Amino acid sequence: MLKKRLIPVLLLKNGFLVRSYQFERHQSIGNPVIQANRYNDWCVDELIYLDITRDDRYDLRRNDQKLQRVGGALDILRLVSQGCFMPLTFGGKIRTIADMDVRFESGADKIAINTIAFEDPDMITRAARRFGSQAIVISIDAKREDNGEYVAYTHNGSRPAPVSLHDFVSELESRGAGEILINSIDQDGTGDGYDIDLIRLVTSRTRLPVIACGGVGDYSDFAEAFTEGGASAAAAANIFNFRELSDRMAKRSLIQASIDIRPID
Amino acid sequence: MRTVGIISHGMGNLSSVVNAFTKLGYDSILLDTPEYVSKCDKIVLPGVGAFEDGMKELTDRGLDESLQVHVASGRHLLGICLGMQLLMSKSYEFGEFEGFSFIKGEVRKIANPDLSLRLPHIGWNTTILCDQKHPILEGLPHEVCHYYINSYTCFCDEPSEVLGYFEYGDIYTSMIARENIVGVQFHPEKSQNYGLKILDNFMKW
Repeated sequence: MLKKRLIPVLLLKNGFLVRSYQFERHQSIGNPVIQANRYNDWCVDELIYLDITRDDRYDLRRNDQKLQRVGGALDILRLVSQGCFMPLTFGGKIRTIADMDVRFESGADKIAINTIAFEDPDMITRAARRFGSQAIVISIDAKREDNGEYVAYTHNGSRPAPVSLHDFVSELESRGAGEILINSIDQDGTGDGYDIDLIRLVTSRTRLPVIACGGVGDYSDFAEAFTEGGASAAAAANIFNFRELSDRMAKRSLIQASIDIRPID
Repeated sequence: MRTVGIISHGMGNLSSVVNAFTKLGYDSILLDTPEYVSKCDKIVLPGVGAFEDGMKELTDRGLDESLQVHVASGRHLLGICLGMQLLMSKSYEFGEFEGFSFIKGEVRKIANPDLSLRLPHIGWNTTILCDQKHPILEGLPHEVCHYYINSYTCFCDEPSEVLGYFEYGDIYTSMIARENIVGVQFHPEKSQNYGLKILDNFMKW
C-alpha cells in the first residue's frame, strides 16, 4: 500500500536557508544546495523548497569557495535538482503561468502556490490544464483567531485571505489541484507539535492528499499528523535542519508508532 | 551505448530525467523533432499530464511515426508515467483517445467507489515484481519502493506482459514489457537508488 511520507521543508530567504518563527523572525542557517545534497544521501521521501524572500536579493557568498556564485532562487533550484533524485516541490513568488514554466524548466517536479491561488482561483485550473494536477500543490497558511475560527492568510502570512478556509479547501479538488500543504502560522517554529485541529479541518474537507506542516519539535510529533490529523505526509523544517540523522530518527519514531512508511534503505 | 534519446514533447519536467542519466554517466539527447530519433538505440518517452495532450504533442511534432519506426526496428523504448500509458491501445482520461497500441490494453481511472482513497495516488508505494528475470529488473528485490504520482492506470489485456504491480485499494499494473518495449507507472528518475537502477539496466539491456 501507499506509504506515509516524511518531507523536510527548506525555507529560502535571499539565497540562504533560514529558520522561521511564526512567520515573523528568520534566522539564517546555511547553504541550501549543500543541505539538499545531504538529504539526497539520506534518502528522505521528498523535498519542499519555499522561497520566502520579500525582495530580490540573493547571495550565497558564505560558500562561494565551494560553489559557483548563484544569482537567485531559480539558480538554487537548478543546482539542487541536479543532485536530487526524489520529488522536489518549489514554491514562493509564483504569480503567473510563465513563473511556473520557468520553475519546471529549472527542475521542479511540482510547484506550490499560495497568494495567487486565493486571489485568482481560476489560476489553479489553468495551471492544472497545462502541467497536470499532480504538479500543482496549494500551500495554505492558516491561523486560529481569538474566536476559535481558522483563517487562511496570504502574502507570507501577513494578510487575511478574502475567502473562508472551509470553502476554499472544499473547492480545490474540482478546481484541479493535486495536493494541499497546510501550515499553521501559530505553531510555526514553536516546536509545540502540529495544530491537529487545523489539519483535521483540511483533511475532512477534501479527498486530495494533505501535507501537514508547522510545529514539529520532537520526533514523536510526526505520527500525530497521520493518526489524528489524517494527513498523507508529515512535513517539518527546523527539526531536520538542526539535528544530525534527523530523517532516520523521525522514521524510527514513525515505525514505533506503527505508521506504514518507506523503509530506511 | 552511452547516449539516450529523450522524447521532448513539452509534457513535464525533462530535466529530472536528464539529471538522472547524467548521474549514471550517460549522455542525453533531447528529441523534439524526428530528425535524430533514428540515431538513438535507446529512447525514453517521459511525460506527465493528460493523455490527449501527450498524444497530440507527439503527433504535432511528427514524433509518433518515428517512434513506431523505432519500435518496429527492434530498438529499445522505455515509457515513464504518461509515457507508459501512451504505449497502450486506448485511454479514457477526459474522453476516449487512441494510444500507440504497442501493448494491448486500456488506461482508466483508479477505482474509488466508496471515496475512501485520496487521489491522485501520490507517494512511495511498493512495486511487487512478477518476473525478476527481465533485464530491466536486474539486481532489484522482489518488493521495492518507488515514487508514484497518478490518477489513471494501465489495464493490460495480456497478463504475461505485466512485469510488476502496485496496490492502492485494488491491485494495479505498475510495469509492462513486450519484446523491446518497457513501461513504468512510477518515476524511476525520482525513486532514488532502486529507480536509478532501472534506468541503468535499461541502458545496459
